[in-house]
Amino acid sequence: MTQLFGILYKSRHFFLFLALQIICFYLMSKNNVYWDVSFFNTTNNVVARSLEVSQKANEFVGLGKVNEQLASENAALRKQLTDLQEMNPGIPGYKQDSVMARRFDYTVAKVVGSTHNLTDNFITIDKGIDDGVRAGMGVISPQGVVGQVAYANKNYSRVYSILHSRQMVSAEVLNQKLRENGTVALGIAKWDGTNPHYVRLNTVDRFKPVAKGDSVVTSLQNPIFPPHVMIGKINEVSNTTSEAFHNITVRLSADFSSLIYVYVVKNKLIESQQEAETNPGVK
Amino acid sequence: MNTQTILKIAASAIIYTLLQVFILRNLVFFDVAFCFVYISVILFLPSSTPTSTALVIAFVTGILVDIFYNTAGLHASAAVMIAYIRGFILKVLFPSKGLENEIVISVEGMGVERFIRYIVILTFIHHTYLFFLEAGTFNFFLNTSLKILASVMFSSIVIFLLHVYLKSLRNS
Repeated sequence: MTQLFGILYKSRHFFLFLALQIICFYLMSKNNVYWDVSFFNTTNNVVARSLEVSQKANEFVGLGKVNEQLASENAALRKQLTDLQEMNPGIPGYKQDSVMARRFDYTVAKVVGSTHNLTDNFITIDKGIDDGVRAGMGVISPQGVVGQVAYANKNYSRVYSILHSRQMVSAEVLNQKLRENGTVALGIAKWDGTNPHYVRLNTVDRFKPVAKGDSVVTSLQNPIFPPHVMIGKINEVSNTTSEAFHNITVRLSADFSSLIYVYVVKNKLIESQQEAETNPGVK
Repeated sequence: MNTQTILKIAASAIIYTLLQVFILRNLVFFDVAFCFVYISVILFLPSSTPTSTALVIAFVTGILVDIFYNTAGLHASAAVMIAYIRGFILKVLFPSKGLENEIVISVEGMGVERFIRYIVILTFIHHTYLFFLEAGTFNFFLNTSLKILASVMFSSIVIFLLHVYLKSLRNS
């Protein structure tokens, strides 16, 4: 017995090492559990506050860039306004009702912390439940799609960036040929985990005419983002004859290393839509 | 271990963690070269520190870094790893029996060449462990290896220079 204790005492360092490693791996595997999410990340108030301070310094240096972004945002809005004014209902017989047309609400939020070169990237923003932000809402920036809210507390939220291994966005390709044919090329934009400037666009039918330089935007078939928000431009298309889909690489239009202001998108009809899609009464 | 050493360790832990979290977190070259300078806290613990104390210090430092990096457990695990391995590395670098508890871990105490070797070996182990754990798979082997090599170079240089600089500050 004494010998046994002797051996245990001799290897006490190893056991402590083992215990600490087990704690670490437990934390890593339980990264999604509530208590953990609310404490071990940048939504933690103390941490978020201090990140805010360091971000403020960056902000001051980057004021010129902010101006530029706001200006381009204004330009885009102006263009949309004229588009809307000149648009006449294209499809005879279809009337967009006003509730549907006004289903999206935007909340401006400031980015207080972000990563873009890890395997799973998150962005922390300074708006939370008090400002109407809920988990699951979409987040866009003036340049394009950013991601989706993962967790919101009273004042801060944490956003899955599109540069996250589990984040996907329903996308479609826009070009002249597709418009003339009256078809849409739908696909799923997903990051492959290597270069933070490019994402992959999967499951686009290879008989659809797509080419380098075409715009990739969010599709009409998703309840999270407004339709036709920019994701990026096609950088490369390749396919082997045996595959059913194009192999597409998309250059992201949003620059994740210099995000300052983002818009949280709230779809007021999402519950209604989901209820219609998953109603248990319909078999 | 006297009060002065404990204060010294605490001060170095605070300085390196703050540096890591507020400055070096934003400093990434070409999307591949990262700098994890917080391992200096563990690297430059006095060699007489018991392994279990070193493990606890490494764990706490790692968790602090984790909170700011949004990666619960990842950095803590890597830091605990090198805190455990440090004793063996010292034994290998200084093979004479029993001496490893009396080495002063600094440029003067070890000689420049051995000091740099010590830093690079431990940094390499830490970064390899960290990046492969973070990637979670061996699928991006080349990409991860590139990250490791670039980061080891970058981190080692920064760790060495910072150590020399802080030492000269203390002496002046």
